[in-house]
Amino acid sequence: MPTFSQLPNDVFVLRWLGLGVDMDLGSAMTAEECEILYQTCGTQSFGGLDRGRALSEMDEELVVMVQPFFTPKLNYTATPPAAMLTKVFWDEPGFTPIVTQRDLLSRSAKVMVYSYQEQGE
Amino acid sequence: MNRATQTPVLFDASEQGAFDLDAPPAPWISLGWIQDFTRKPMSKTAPVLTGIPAATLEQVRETLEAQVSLQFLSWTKLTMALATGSQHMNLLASVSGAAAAADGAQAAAAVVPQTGSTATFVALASADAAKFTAGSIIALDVDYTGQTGFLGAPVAGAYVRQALTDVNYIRRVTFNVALVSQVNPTGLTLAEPLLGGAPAAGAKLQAVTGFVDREGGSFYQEWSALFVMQGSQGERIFYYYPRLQTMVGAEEAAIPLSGKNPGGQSRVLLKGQFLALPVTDPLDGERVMCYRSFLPAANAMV
Repeated sequence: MPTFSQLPNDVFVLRWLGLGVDMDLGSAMTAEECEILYQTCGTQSFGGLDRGRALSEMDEELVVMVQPFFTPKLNYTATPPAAMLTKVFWDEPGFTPIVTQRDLLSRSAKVMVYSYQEQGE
Repeated sequence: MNRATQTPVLFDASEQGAFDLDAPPAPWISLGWIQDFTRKPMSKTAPVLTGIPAATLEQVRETLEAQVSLQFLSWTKLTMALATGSQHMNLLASVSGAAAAADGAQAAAAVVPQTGSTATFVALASADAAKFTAGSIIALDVDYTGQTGFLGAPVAGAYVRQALTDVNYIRRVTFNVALVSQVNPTGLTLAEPLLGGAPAAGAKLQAVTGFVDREGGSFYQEWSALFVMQGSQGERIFYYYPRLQTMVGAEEAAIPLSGKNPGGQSRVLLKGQFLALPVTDPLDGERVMCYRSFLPAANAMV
């Protein structure tokens, strides 16, 4: 896996933060916070003057990506991936303010992602 | 709790106190974790006064009353039924094109279990088995043929004062429901045993799409209840209520899953409030509502 001294532009970078487990249910529920970082300098053809629009597009793209707020849970240890019995689901993203660093605009969003532990996991 | 005979389920902490909390001794059924368990003693006592000036000579109990409130963390047929103040019903899968009804349209025809059925396997003719899929829910009980009184076995799901006309009525109110884990041409394998055990003679099977209860009505749920608190050293506190009746209508409470995001995903809890009814203890004839037992941790000073 490549490592970056600086985050790449115009992509979403995911980092998984703290983990919590609720064992007071029929099936244990885990919660993990996902931090989504993204940044852009805009495009060369506009000399970077469109970086605000570019970041705004990435904001909208992220909002679209997290909807609906659930997806079928798949087991990727099997080929092809096997559908499991429950769904993975998450909260609405919480966005941080834009950070300006020279010609770079960046932002991050945090989403709490939940999953039920199934038999055999 | 057998409503017809007013017989509670017994719990003996001396004999049964070490049971596996995930697999309580029959006929007890685990309803999972609860929170905000609160007991409220409501019995009234009065002093017997004597002398001038009057002073208390004795105390007497004027009324016996106790209440219990709690919140169920999970929604299941049983937790929903216990937490509702009224009758709880199964939404039977309907026939195609049936006229809508608030507690379920006309149900699709029931199928008949074959010999060889058990509490966890319902043998069916292959054509009948093909009507079900893994993951579906079933209700299994006898046809309604005009019975009155408490209906449903082994748990009474309704009290009927006047004869009704719906042949599926008992399957609408029965607690004999289960999730289908596998379907094969010989029948249905269930993910959990039926409360009533192997299908009784005359029992029939219908698919259930969900559950429904109503605000109002005249039926009161009544159950024997056992609450367990387990300490870190293995000690256990039991609260055994032989008779517990719901005393308020259905109510829910929503709590956020993440304290960091109160506006995010929430868990909806079922709130229950119950009135404890008395039984006569055969030991000494005293009328009591709750038995609190304590099993100390191994090697703990007593």
